[in-house]
Amino acid sequence: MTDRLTLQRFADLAQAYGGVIERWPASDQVVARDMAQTAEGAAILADALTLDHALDAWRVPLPDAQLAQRIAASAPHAPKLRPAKLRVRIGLWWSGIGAAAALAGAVAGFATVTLATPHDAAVSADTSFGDLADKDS
Amino acid sequence: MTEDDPDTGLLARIGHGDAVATRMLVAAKLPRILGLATRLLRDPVAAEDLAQEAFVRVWRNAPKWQPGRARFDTWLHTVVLNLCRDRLRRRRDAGGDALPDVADPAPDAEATMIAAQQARQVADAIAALPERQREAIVLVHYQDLSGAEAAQVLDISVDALESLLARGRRTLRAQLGPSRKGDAHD
Repeated sequence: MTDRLTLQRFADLAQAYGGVIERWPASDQVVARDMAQTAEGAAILADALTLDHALDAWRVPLPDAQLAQRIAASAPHAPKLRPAKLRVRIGLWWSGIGAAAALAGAVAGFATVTLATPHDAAVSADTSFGDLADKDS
Repeated sequence: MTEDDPDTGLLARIGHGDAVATRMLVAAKLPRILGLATRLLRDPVAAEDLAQEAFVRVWRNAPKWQPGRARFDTWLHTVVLNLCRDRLRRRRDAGGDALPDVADPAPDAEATMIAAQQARQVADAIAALPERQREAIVLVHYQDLSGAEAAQVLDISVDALESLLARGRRTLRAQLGPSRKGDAHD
């Protein structure tokens, strides 16, 4: 651990790593924070921060969810992404359940609620659960 | 340096086919990979393609990942940097030395023309740096790697890294900084 830091070394570090001391080598940070309290140290840091802030203007977009989904699906043992058409049909299947349940509740209104099995049961139920890809969308 | 690698546990789970760990790693690393590739390639489509290629290597290496030699994040940056270098070399060989247009700025940066213009100026200034200086600046300032980690990725000493950073920042300050009459020296 560095217990001494010359002003020149402080300036060199600011020139290399910028004005954020947390980016400097860990071994220099404690002493550097003390030196940053001096007028000379504060001026050096302020100067370096000017460039840091200018560099921060260049931002790049975050990755979109579809890219992340494709990459996760490319991993070995990852659950396969279903074709979009099939996902739409599954969505309709769930909508059918919701509509049927609501209708049953409204009409019957007592005793037990009869949940009608949807007619378009072409999609097997085993694809409707536990699919992480669907939870993202 | 490597004993507290926070990614080791995730990699072990991925090696056992844990889909949740896979998604967690993608969520954690994809923005970093894409940020590095976008800034070095300045081509968002190529950067996305490269990110997918980098993750193929992650999946291949996760089951046999050995903690201790390097942090996973450092290794991943080395992979992405090498992939970027390959693409830039192929681009140069193909005669397409001119860099594609700067990546679209983030939506909030797009909010004002001034912010977009500033982003473009920075991107152009960094692109004009010598390759090693550009890589050093991107790794330390934008990727937040420590000096030791960035030096490891670039396969140079920390002293050499600091020299690259200082020269790069000096050039950038001359190009991006306001004309300050009292700023006569570094």
